[in-house]
Order: sequence, then C-alpha cells, then structure tokens
Amino acid sequence: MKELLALTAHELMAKFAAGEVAPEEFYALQMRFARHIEPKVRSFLTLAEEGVAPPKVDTRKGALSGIPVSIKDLLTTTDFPTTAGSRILEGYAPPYDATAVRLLREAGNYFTGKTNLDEFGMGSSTENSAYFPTHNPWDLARVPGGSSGGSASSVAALQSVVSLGTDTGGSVRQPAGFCGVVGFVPTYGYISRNGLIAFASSLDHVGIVARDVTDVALTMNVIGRPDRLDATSQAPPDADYLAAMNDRESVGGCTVGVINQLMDPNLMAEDVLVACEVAIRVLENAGCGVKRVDLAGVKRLLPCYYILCPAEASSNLARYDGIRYGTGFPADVSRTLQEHYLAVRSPGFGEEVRRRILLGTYVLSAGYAEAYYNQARRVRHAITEGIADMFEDVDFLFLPTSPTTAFGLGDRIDDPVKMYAADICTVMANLASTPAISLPGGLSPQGMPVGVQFMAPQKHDGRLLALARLYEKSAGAEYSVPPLVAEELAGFEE
Amino acid sequence: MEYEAVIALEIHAHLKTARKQYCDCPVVNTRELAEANRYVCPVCLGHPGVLPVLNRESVILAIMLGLRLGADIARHSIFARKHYFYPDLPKGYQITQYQTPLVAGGELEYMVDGEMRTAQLERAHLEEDTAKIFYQDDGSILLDYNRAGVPLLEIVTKPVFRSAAEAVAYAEELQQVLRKLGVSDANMEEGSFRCEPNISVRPAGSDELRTKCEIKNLNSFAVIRKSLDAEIARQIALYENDREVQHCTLRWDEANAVTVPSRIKETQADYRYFDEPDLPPLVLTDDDFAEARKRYEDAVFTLQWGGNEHRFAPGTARLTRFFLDNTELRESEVALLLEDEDALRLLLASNEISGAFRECANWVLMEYRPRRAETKGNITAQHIADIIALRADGKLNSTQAKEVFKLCFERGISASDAVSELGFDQVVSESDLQKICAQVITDNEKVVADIRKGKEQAVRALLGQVMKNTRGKAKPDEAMAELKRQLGM
Repeated sequence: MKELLALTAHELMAKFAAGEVAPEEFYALQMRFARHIEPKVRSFLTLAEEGVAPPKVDTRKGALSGIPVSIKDLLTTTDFPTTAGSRILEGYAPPYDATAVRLLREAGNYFTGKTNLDEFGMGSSTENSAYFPTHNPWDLARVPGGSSGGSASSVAALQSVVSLGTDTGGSVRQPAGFCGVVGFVPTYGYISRNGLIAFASSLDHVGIVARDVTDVALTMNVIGRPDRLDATSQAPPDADYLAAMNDRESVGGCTVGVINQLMDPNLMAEDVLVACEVAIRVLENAGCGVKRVDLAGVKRLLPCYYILCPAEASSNLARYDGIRYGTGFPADVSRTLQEHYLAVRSPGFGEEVRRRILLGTYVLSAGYAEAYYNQARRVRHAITEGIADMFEDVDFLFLPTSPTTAFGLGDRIDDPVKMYAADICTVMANLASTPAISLPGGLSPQGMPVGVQFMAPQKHDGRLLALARLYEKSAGAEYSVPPLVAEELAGFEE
Repeated sequence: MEYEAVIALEIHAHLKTARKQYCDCPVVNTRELAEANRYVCPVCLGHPGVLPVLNRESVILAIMLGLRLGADIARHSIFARKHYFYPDLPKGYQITQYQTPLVAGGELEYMVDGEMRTAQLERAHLEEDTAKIFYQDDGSILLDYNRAGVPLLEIVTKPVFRSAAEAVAYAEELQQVLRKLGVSDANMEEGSFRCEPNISVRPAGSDELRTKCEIKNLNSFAVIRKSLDAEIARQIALYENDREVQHCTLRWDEANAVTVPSRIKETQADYRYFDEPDLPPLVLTDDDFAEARKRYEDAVFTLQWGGNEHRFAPGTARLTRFFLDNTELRESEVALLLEDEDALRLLLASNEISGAFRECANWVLMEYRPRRAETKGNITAQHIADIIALRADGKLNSTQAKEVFKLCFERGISASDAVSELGFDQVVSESDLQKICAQVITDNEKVVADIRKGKEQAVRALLGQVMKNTRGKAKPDEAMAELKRQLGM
C-alpha cells in the first residue's frame, strides 16, 4: 500500500471514491511514514500524536476530504501548539483555529502536524527557526528554502499530501522551488489571513504547497473563501478553481511576458537560466506567445521590500510582551515594567527577528519615516503600477522562482544581505498583491530542483492555474519523488 | 501684568455601541475586579494572528456628532497604528485615526454666565480604549481587558477657552449633546467621558501660544474647574517670577488643591504612526449618511410655541436661551427641565392644552418630577391641563388638587374620575353642614371658650375640623359663616 504515499490528492480521492483505501487507513499510513523519515528531514515542530485513532471521514464533504495536510506553524490551530518558530511563543495554545485551518477541518481533512519555519516567517532557509533547521529532501546538506521550509519538505518527503504555508516575500514559492513541488500564493485577500500570525500584514498571504496544480485548485476550492473576520478579505464567494484550471480556452493563445531584467546572468545562476529557457520553449510549443518585457526598477524591489516588511513586523511583534500569553507569562511581579519587557523580549526573539524589529522601528521613527518608510510605500506604488502596465501588454509574467537552486545549510546564515537576495524574484507578487505560482522546472546538473514562476494580474487566480496546468502538462512535469525519499520508502515497512 | 488662559479640551467619549470597536465582544462597563476579563476574545486580547474588523455602528454615531457640529465629515478616511508599550495596550499599538480624522472642524455653542459662546473644534476621530488597570498595594497591577477595544471618539477643540468656567461649560454642553444624540452615555464617574485639558497662559490680548501643560485623570466637572484655576495660577506665578513653564503632564492633587507635574516631556513621544494595513480605508456610503441623518433628525428637539414650530439641534444652549427669553422660568429650572426630557415634554404638552405655562411648570417641577423619581407613573398633559382648569373654576382647592394629581399619577384615571372617586364633587347639604358644625363646637369646648374670651381667630381651628370632617367637601366660606352663626359671632 505504501506506493499510495507518492500520489497526489486528486489521485487519492479517486482511490477513496473507488473504495480501494479508506481515508483513515491512508492517514495512519501517512503518519507512520512521516514519523519514519522525520529524523532525516525534520519538517515538523509538532507531529500529530501517535496511536490516536483518526476519525472516519465522509469523502463527499469537500473537494479534499480525508487528505492529510500539514500546517505551517505560523497558522493558529486549536489542537496543536503554535510557536511561529519562536521561543517567545513556546507552548502557546491558540484559543482559535485560523480560518483556512477551520475550513479544512470542516471539510474533513486530517492534519499531520505543524511544520518548521524561519521564526515568524523571517528568512529564506528555515535556518532561523528557534528550534532546529529543516533539511532539503533532495540533499540533506542543503536548506529546503524558507520560510515555509517545513511545509515544502513535508510534501516533498511524502509526510503530507498538501501543506498550508504563508508567503510574505516568497516564503511558499521559494521553498516549493527548492524542494521540487508546487507553491501557490493567491491574490491578496483570496485566502483569509485570520489566524496567520502577522509578520508584514500588507504583504502576508496564506499559500498552498502541493504535488501538482490540480491539488492547488482543489485546496483553493476549500480555503479560498470570503471571511468576515478579515477586513481585507476579497475572495469571490462561489469561485470554482478546478473548473477555472480546466478551462483551456481561457489561456488559448495567451501571451507570456519574460522579464529581461530577471533573466540576467549577473543575477541568476546558469542552471536556473537554462531551466527557464527550457520552460519558455515548452510554453511556445504549447501555443503561448512569448514576449520579452522590461521591468523598470528591479533594483528597487529588495530595498523597498526590506523597508516595508521590517516596519510592519516591528509593529506586529509589539504584542509579544509576556503579559497575556507566551513566555514570561505570568509576569514576575518583582521586576519593573522595563525589566519585564527586556527579560521577555530579548531572549524571546532570535537574532534575525531582533534585527528586523530594530530596522523597522528605525524606518518608522519620527525624522526617518519620510526618507525610508514613506518613500518605500511610494516605490511600492510605482512597482505595482509598473506591473499593472506590463499586464496591459501580456497576460502573464514568467520569471525564475529563485536566483539559485537550494544552497547549503550554513552557507548564508551569517550574511543577511545575501540571504535577502534570494527573494528578488518573489517579492514582486507580494508588493503588487498579485497571484503567483512556482512549478517544478526540471533538475539542475547537480540533481537539484529548479523552480519556474508565473504571475498573473490581481484576481486572475483561476486563469493563472489554467496556465500552470497547461505548462505542467506540456512539460510533462509530473511530481517526482526525491531519490533519498524513494530509498527511505523502499526500506519502510508498513 | 494681566494674563489670560489659553485652554483646549481633549475629550474621550465611549460610543454607545453594543459591541467593541474591532471585535464582536459586548461592551459591558464592569466596575468590580470580580467581573474582570469576562468580555474578552482573542481579538481584544491581542492574540497572535487576529485581525480587527471595524464596527460600523460606531461610524454612524461619529457621523451624527459630525452633523451636530456642522463639521467636515470625511467620505474617505484611514486608520493608523499608534505605537507605545504599556500593559494596558494589548497589541503594543492603538488603532486610531491620525492624518485623516472622520470628523474635522465644526463648532459648538454653549452658555456661560447666561451668555452664548461658540467653541471651534479641531477634529473628532475613532479609536479604541485600553484595558483598565487595578493598582495593588504591593506595587503590582492587575489588568481588566473588558474595556480594551471599547469604541472611543476623541473630540478635540482648538485652544479657544480663556477661563476654566468656559472650558467646563463647553464640556457640560458637549456631554448633553452626546447624550441627547444617543452617541454616548458620557458619564464621567464611569469613565465614559474623560476630559484632558491643555493649558497655557499669556499676557492678556496677546496672540502667542506658549508652552502648554496637560492635566490628566480628572473625574468631575468640579475637579476640572478647580484644577484649571490652580494651573492658571501656577503658570502665572512662574512667569511672574521670570521662570519658564515646562511642557509636562500634570495630575490633580485634591488634598492640597494643586496640580503636580507627573512627567516632564522633553521630546515629543514618537508613536511611529503608520497606516493600519489590516483595515481598508473607511469609505462612507450614501446609506451611512442617510442613516446618521435620520437618527440625527430623530434627536432634534421640536417645540410648538405660539402657533409656530421651533427646531433645536440636540443640546441645551439654544433651548435655554429660548426659555429664558420666552417664559418666566428661572435658569435653574430650565436646567432641570433640559436634563429631563420627559418632564420638558410634559410641560410643553400641558401648556399646549391649558396655555397656563407657569402653572404647568409648577405641576411638572414640584409634583411630577419628585414622584417620577420613584416610579414612572401615568400622568399625561391632559391630566395637568384638567386639574388646572378645575382649580380655576373653583371646583378644587389646592389640597384637593394635589390629591387628584396623586391619584391620576398612580392609576392613570381621568381627572374627573379622580375627583368623583375622592368625593370632591359632592356638595355638603345645608342641614349636614349645620349638624357637623354643631358637633365640632360640642367637641372643642376649650377652643370655644377661647373664642368667647375674645380670641376670635381661634375659630379657624374649628373651620379646620369642619373641613376635615367633610373631607374637604364643604366650601370654606360657607362653613365659616355657619360656625360664626352658631357661635353668635
């Protein structure tokens, strides 16, 4: 039965429907293998408890009923502690489920556990987790990407079929690219942020990691819903993403723009550029028009992002004062208030989080806000307009997911600016609030996955999935199991 | 040198909404520690991952005040985060409005020393309240988040007041306006109406603005007045001694009747404001305006007077002026009536029927209000008009009239039914009167003896007995004549 572990959600749904396997049976198998391979990859901060009999699930309830899903530990869950990968929330038991989690729970999904991440989502390698790093299932000496590294590795390493991640500057797409799976972020507001522990609110998206585009569409059909608890929610109430994905007409003869400035050998590794050119030929062969386009201000992307996002983070993280929950609660009353704040916050946050709080506080301070924060907001506005202008000419944009394939553990951790550079291709979608998807674009000569990325205008999520499906089919980019996972699976006794 | 005060008022009023500003928790003004933290949820406790959702009810209430003040109401306004660390602030920032307040400008008329004045306003904006702190004897604090997230309207004047009396009179008027609009309970003791004056002094007639100080935690109008007077004196004394006023926050020391600096502000606090990304811009629709306008119109006071309809915006200043100019009411009586809308409505309606304004006012102020303080009662304007008419026709004496009023108040029956139930309409026959007078003379030998000795006025005591024995039905002049006849006077 263990060969079922490498199937996609829609393949499994067919098996459930045919009565070949019961969802609870598959879930039990899923958990056994997840535990088996966990010491190698370390995807999870919390794994679902062993020996608890899973409830029977009605597979007619939802598009994904019975499918085991892992949840990034930046989304609140009532049945697992939620730490945000931070010491400051160690042992924190949220009193509510994130809306996306609740919708999956109501649709009859199983949760495999809470996946590892860079603390509060701040990082591109999952090395900033306060607990331990996660390893890339394709090469354990490399990072899985970040910040949703645990989500991507859990799907790639057959520990979960689908995973919920979050993406503020590429945190779903980049690890999906590094781990050879699909990573999708919808238009801002299409999945409720309620229960997403805020990092940079205006850039935060809930995103989906899956093995193929169809699974993304199915997951969107469950969680891509309006939510009155999120005032920025703007999801269309009755959207059918599966139908939109299958609507080949919607992408017939479409034009895909390739951003020249991001195909620059000075910015991108050669293996990435090679994979991108292959992908572009696939698109042409599939009947898409390909147009080379220019994006002004590529150099401003990262500075703009790395001012706005720490600014919002410094504000969002102000609530961790150890007074109502988290470490430091209940307060030691022998301390003064100032001593209490220092005792809770200084050791509670890791180095990268402290760096961003300080940066953010600085750029928002009186006298500096105009030069930094307000200026960055204007730049963001200009970038958004620039991208909207490009979408006047082309239907979609094509770009790499990341300048390189997965880098080695420890390679960049001491060089924040180098680490930030990994986000150059992904921050655009967050700054412009548009949907984007990273798809497997083959393997590098070293056998590491390369991600290729598509972006669509705001609210064109269904069409973006249709293009992604077209690419997936034309490229024959089926999900492939990382060799060492295949090896583990071979040795795994059911 | 002559000095004058320059005062601006910052008032925080709780908006009268069922739910908190950014979550679904009910607004309950609890006082006791035992009730603390009952009306809280992850949103108002600032848990990780929660988001604010604006309560549109508070927006309607704010628009209503904007209409009342004749202010600019922003069709498009944004919320901002104001950052500081304090245990009563769950998120580490307050969601407020900064660059674009919902309500800008406007003015409010108020009465001071029997004179009408106008205060110009700077702005009024929406924000949320903080938790309540209970200070413990050991120096620790306990926190009650029931109040955290309660909708607040911060209403700020320009520096327009030149005395404590003006500032207090404006605050009192604003309190009445908020109550009459139904926008806020505006109760100072309960903390739903909090005044923070900013004050400086300058040479009289100058137009400079000198360093100002802010007085916090003032919980009654009397305290505002006293603290402002004391602070004016303190600042004048500093200038007189060639010293400077330092920008600071003050508290009022009641025992010593002085303002005490509690925090010197060397620099402007840096609140690191930025636009709240979790709330989209507040865009007002025509429906919002229509609803606010309708509720505002419902609160407008309409008065029929001399065949004309007079309309008064919610508040007291213009109505007070009207009554002082058009009736014999004293200012204190007007104040009582304006605080008690039921009484005022009753007075106006009974006057409408009877035309006897002063008498109606007496019934309302002296008989209706004390009774209504106990129980709601059933009195109508018609009752009062009827009782006044019965008195005028000589069918009731004043004691009887009060009894009739009491019965009408308690049971709601008509005045004429009350008169017959009390038997005030029965005439005492001549023969009965003769018998009763004879009996009274027999029963009061001592009084009769006094009269015989020449103390003629003692006959009034006998008259009192006759009236009592006829339960007030005898006509006093006829009874007196009969007594005098029998006594041979």
